[in-house]
Amino acid sequence: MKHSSFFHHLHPVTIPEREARYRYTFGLGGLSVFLFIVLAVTGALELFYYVPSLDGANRSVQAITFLVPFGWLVRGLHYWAAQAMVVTVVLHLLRVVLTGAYKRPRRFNWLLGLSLLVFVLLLDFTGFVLRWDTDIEWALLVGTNLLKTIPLIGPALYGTAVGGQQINPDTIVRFYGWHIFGLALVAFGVMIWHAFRVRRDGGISSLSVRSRSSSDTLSPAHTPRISRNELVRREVLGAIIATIILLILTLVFPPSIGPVGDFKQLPEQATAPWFFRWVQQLLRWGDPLLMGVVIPIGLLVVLALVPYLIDRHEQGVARWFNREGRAAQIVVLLMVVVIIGLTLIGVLQ
Amino acid sequence: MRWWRLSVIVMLIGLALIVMAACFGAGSSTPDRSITPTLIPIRTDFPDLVLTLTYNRLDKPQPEADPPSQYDQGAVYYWLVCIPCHGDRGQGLTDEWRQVFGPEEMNCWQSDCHSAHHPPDGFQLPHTVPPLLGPTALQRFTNGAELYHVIKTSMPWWDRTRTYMSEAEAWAVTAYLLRQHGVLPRGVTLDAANASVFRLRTQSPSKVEERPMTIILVGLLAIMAIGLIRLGTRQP
Repeated sequence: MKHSSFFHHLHPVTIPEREARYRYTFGLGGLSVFLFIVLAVTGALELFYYVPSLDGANRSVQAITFLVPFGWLVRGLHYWAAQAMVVTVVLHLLRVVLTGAYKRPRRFNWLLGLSLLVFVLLLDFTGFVLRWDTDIEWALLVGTNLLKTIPLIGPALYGTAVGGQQINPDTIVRFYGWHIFGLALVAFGVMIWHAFRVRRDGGISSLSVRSRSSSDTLSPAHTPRISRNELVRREVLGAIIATIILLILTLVFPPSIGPVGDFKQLPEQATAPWFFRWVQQLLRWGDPLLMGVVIPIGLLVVLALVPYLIDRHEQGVARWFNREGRAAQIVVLLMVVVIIGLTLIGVLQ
Repeated sequence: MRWWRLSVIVMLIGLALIVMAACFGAGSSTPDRSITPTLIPIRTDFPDLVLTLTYNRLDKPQPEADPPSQYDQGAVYYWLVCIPCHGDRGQGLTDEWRQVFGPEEMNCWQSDCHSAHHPPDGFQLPHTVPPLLGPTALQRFTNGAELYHVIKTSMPWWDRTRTYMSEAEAWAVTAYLLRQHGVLPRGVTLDAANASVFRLRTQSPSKVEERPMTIILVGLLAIMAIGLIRLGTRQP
């Protein structure tokens, strides 16, 4: 193994052994980066055959799925990597909250991470719409109409998103542009920034760099550390296992593709993509602006304020369920439980 | 004794050659796309033609499906418009094909209508019209999208105004040619969304082979993962 390779230099020379264990990070940040790479590669391959037009979108996805050599595999990997990325990013957020890794000096990086969560959800949403089949009716009609409910800027936002005041042939081009350029490219930049800030803020959150006032702080010189060769070995192992899981999911549960949708009116059975089922459930209970816009954005604001208002302690970093961060843990876990509960209610209905 | 040994060796070599020929010949997946023109009488007043009557070469093609599929429409359009220059089997403007025209029309570029000095409503017929079917045909095209583009923008030869042939007609003719080349499956409708998928002269791996190959890949990755785990346990 060449120690001077570019790939190795992307990593710190050593990292603390305790925090490098799978049961501390579960490799969730690295997995998310790997899934992003899988999405970029498979997405680029899909671009060769995808036709972003009213007539061509659905038919070209069908061509990719049924006609292009290994097209089903590329599309399946893209689909499952996208679903997995929502899961890994959310679990990564939970890990950061439960181990107090959002605390100073990582508060700004917490915000960058939150923005990446939003990017991932929007990327999944726009990618979902690009299938242009009957399954996307809720996403296309209800999802975009939520923008219209926002006072003052709503209609302009809607026009920017869909390319007009109603769904039209330009809409598919808009979603295509948003998915690849407006979201994926920007998300890539923020992801690099996020990783840079991890290094800039002292590397992975660990006991050795905790507050000086803490009694159980270890001196960095006495902290057991692993080399970056070992770190890379673990990363490659995680990537291979993730690839195996993605391949098996693709083989056993290939993503569906329905006939081209008729978007003149919303069918009764239309459902949101699984990661927005909780929003769909909220919308059944009340005003679209409140349920579909204010509450989701409000939850995001609460998350953003976690290190600034809810838990301003510097102690408790790198400890699972640390006492200092109890309030933040309860708020975020409650939020997750409510979202999962709403999703389950939506699915059961 | 030596003669007997020599005979056995020769027989074994011969047997091996027969087995190899059987394997590589009968098992070949490459379809034979060569064209064997069937000569049939079209002009009874032209006795020099010795033809076998199996069907009339100028008969309108019968549709495979009801209503006619895109392929059927392409076959009819080809028969109606393309056949004079490109031949009934896509063989091009061969001498054999021109003989079907009869003595008066078989040297049509010497006629008033198709010579270099043709009247405004005529056109100059090229001496060489490339074959559309057969092993040497359509070498410059990679896929259906390229073929469609040239058909739509350059055909028919005498009218390049792009108004003669509609998009649907151009797609139908392209579908007909791709089917004749064995690259467009029956029942698939060709259009802009999938035309680049159908590659000429390329035998893509079948769907049956892709899944086992993917499963093998999973196995190889699993072996790599085990190797990396063992590498980790060996390190101090």
